[in-house]
Amino acid sequence: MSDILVEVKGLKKYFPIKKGVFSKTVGNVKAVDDVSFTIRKGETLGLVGESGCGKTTTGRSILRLIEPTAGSVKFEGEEVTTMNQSRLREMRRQMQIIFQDPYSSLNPRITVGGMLTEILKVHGLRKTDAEIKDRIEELLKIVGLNPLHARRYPHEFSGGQRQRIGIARALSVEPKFIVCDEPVSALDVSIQSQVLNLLMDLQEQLSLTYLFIAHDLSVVKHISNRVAVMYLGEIIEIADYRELYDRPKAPYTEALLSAVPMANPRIKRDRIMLTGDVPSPANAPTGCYFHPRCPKVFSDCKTIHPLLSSDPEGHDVRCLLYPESYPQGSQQAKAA
Amino acid sequence: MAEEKVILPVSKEEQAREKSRKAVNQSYWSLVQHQFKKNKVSLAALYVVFFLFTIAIFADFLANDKPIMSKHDGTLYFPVVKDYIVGLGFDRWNAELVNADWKQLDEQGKLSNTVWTPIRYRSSNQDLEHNTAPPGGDHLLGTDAIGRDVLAGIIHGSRIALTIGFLSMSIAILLGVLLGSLAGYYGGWVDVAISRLIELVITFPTFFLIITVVAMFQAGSIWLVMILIGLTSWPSLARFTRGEFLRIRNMEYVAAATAVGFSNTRIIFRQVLPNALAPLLVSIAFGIASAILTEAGLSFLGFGVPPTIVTWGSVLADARGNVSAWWLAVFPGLMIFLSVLCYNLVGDGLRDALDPRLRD
Repeated sequence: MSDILVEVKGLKKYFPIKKGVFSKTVGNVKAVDDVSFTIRKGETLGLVGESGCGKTTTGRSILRLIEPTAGSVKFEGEEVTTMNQSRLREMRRQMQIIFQDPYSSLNPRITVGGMLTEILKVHGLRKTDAEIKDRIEELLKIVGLNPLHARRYPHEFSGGQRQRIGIARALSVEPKFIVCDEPVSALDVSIQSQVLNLLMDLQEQLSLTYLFIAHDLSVVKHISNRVAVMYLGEIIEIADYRELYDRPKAPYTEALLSAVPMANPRIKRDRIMLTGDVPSPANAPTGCYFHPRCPKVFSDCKTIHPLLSSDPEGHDVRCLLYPESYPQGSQQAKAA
Repeated sequence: MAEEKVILPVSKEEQAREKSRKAVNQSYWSLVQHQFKKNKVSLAALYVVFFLFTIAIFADFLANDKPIMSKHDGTLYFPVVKDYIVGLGFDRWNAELVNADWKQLDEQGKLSNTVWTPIRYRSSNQDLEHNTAPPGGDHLLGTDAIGRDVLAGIIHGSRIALTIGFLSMSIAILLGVLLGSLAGYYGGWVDVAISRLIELVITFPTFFLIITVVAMFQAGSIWLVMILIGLTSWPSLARFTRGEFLRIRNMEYVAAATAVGFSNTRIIFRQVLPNALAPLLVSIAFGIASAILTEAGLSFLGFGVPPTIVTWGSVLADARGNVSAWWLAVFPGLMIFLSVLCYNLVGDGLRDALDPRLRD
């Protein structure tokens, strides 16, 4: 199992809801609730779901930009969640993040060159000024920018260019693993594909491993080897991307897939319309979290909370339509 | 890392364009400068502030009882400059000139090639023959009850006003920015503790606190007043800094800085502080104005600086003793008014220049 780079087990992040003068905790927002997955070296795991389902929190908890409430994250077999600050700082060289908003992710007061210089100096990656200058030129070239752009401030760039700078920043510490937190959602469609292709080229050239977070299934399909679908802080389904797109198991995944626009408008499809909104993670429904909106809902869904099945072929699903999802000891319903 | 790189082509034209542009011109501060210059009133106020600075710096060359340059016994002296050198201990006056009255020497015809300062009095010189003299003649703006030249007092008083304004604000900035950034960045109990401290200090009535402390120390000094004003005016700066830190802490570039492994100290000083500083300038400008005003008020009441030092406030205070000597009230009053007004206008202009969050 040495080819596993990142192993997440039972990751939880609860945000307490406080009320009153004494800040008494009256409840929790379960942003991430018992999420487990593994990422193999060199692969891309796509993480999709609607807004507010905990994708970003998951990504950031792995890097400990947000301290997880519980659970374990192992990077190359080493536990990340209990690391002390100094070890964590070293570790951060291995794991990087690319942010969603290219506007707030760059410090407006520092030139691109200044930003990269500081990173290289802090980690002692390049010693002399000439080496640093060469490295910055190289980094900017890698992400498709002009080396002379180093003198510019972030506000002088377009959104796509800024995202490339964000990528250059992530690459500057020579990481093995990058969390891409909706890196293309804020960009124009024409720029999206450029940035996606850049990310894929870089993965090949630098043998990177990605956790690719997005709410757009077509983007994820383009880049991922495996895809995990999240709903209300839980993973609903996880499978190889072809398997997931061709034979989705969970009704939620089917609904998401049916919403992906097709290039050919003449193709008639059965569009599954979901009614209602994502319930509040502070007050999740009983049973299966998805049952109030599920088109295939039946009686058990309202009372029994399904487990993520462990399929030998790696196609896991959390849905009572599949008997493996019944928690042990609960009365097995005849339906399914 | 692999040696082979993905290199996207960069066109020749783009390279040429990139080389010809001046990146410095595009920086944030140049945009602020541009915005500030549009506001003519604030710009004029800024020039007045610069003018007051010049007066304060060159006070000894503007009003002095020694000439700028003079020849005595065949030696050329620069008495004003020499006074500075003597003051620093690098040189000393020869015996006959140590306590020489240069005006007397001039009248006795012992000096030649003499260049006098525009006003031939220091603020402390007493011209007892002309006490309470109205403006005009030898004393352009008149004299006070013990014959001290008002214009010289105003010129030398501007030094004290500026020193008080800037030193007390430096103390306030140091304390306020440090505590405010700690509170805003770390949050939690640090924030609670510092916020309560801020509220506590704000409740002190500054003016009466200073009066009390000065009374306790018997001999008041300008340094004591500066320190006290500084120690009581940091809370507003701390609040401002805290607010800015709370806002900026949630920006993604701070998360990115954490992610690339920067330490908290580095993030506070290199990433957050430069972005929080601009709005602070506004309250610093207002702070300087209010420090000047506080000092003037204290001197007016006779609590601030010792009576031997002439400040704007103390000249103004002399007007109380002689109501008909209007020049004692009007001229220092005008200076206080002018400098406070100008600092406030500069602060106002800065706020306008910074406020519509200059983006792109």
